Amino acid sequence: MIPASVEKPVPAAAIPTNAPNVTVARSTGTSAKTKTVLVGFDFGTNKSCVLAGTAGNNDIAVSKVVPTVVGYVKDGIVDGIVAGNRSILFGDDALQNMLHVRLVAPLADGVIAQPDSARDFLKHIRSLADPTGTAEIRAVVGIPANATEQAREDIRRCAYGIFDRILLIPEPFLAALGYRDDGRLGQPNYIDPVVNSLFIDIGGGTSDICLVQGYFPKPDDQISIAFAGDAIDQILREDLNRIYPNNGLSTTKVREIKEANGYVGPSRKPLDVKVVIGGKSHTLELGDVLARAGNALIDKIYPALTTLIQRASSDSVVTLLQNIIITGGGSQIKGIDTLLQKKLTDDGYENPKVRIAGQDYKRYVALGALKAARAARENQWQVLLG
Amino acid sequence: MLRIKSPADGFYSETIGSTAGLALTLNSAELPSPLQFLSETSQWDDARRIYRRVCVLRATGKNHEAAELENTEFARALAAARIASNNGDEEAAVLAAEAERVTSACVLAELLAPLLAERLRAEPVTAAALQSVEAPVIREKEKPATPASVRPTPEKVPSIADLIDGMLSQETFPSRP
Repeated sequence: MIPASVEKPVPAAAIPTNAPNVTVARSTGTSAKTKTVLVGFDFGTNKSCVLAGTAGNNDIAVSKVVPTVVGYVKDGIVDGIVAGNRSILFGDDALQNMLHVRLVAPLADGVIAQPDSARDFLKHIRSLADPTGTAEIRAVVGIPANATEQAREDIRRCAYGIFDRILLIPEPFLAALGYRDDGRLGQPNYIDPVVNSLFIDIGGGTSDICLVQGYFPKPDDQISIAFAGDAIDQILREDLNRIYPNNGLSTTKVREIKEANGYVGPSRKPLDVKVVIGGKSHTLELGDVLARAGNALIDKIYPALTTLIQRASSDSVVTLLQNIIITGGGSQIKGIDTLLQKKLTDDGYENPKVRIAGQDYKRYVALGALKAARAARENQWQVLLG
Repeated sequence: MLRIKSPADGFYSETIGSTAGLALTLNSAELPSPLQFLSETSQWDDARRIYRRVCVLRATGKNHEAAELENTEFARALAAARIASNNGDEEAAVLAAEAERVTSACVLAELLAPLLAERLRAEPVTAAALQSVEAPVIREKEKPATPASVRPTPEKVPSIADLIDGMLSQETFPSRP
């Protein structure tokens, strides 16, 4: 079996010289296109989510979670092997045809690493949101908390000519907007997460922690750590290679093992995981390996979490401690909420409550982005000019 | 306010109220006596008001209460109004007008309710503002027993657009650690 590999170059990859220099201008009016499609887009390192709907109503016409991967069909593939004889595949299609394509991950550590692939991926997202290709596309795109200006500029340059107008908003804030239950706003016992909460968004490339307290988070309210799902996969892979040399497990398989069995806290031995290596079924005992990988995440997140708690005002911190919410793929790691809450309690924080956002964690950022797109004023949109 | 003049020639005129600075002078030859007028108006107003409540109860599905009100309070008011004016046409017109008003109000509410709900959802600040207007008494009564029900420091949440303004006003973010 050919191990599936996803190219993940260092994030500092340069934008190609032929990429447009993008100037940003504030929107001043509507374009000539007759239909406007609003897009909420969570551009995740491993998984992206797109929600879209036409302007003027609250319907969501498109809701898709797409693995953030582009597959370029290899030379010499016989006609008919790849459906439609396409030359580029995206998401699940690319993964299902991994033998016949060169897989490229456009993002690494939450920022664009492969600009050409990122542009191809964004074109695909556009085609999902607007199959006719005729509408004006206004997209709110999630970015890691504290993303650098270069990272923002890279997104703008890749989006040029694909999205007509764009707004880049930090992901944990969008997660809070998406998590907010608009139908319960104003109810006496409902604490609006946008008013006072602390969001921990654990994605593939970055873990973003953000104080959300009724105003747009300032740089000091956000901490982004380049340690998340991919880093856990890396630790797992290294340990597996050390303990079970030549195991031949692909990146995708290692991730599947983590997603099915990942946990934090004390070692849960024995934890047997069945895998197929060299065509034969094997049972690997991964209790310690998974604990080490998962707890490495806690070691990174916890200091950032307490740093932000200490930055909250004394008037708001008690309520804030009741409203710590974990979202993103990392929220599915077993025991993460319990362990963080226990650590906070043990350290003397006042009655902390850490919760998991829920099974819809893949969509909260995109949902918040779509809400922001619907609420944005005309002059807040940025027009991408070549 | 009603002021009555009694000229010596047997005619009289009346000035009704002075609302908005407008005084209306009417010729008594075309009108019933002022006392009769007052009485009729008052009786029909009562009947009209009660019948409106009957219609509202029916429109909200409270048919039992509507029937009870119609058979008691409204029946009494209607009888009094009939005695005062004995005008069958007016009675039919009053009842039809009230039924029509309530029907129109229901249609208007049906159209407005989803629009308002949508606006409140789209503009959380409005919902928060409404709550802050209504809340003081309720908050006082429902004194938070646990920290979870304590209202957070920021009393008023800006709209999403205002939050975006806040983001745009932050010129640059520092580099990630």
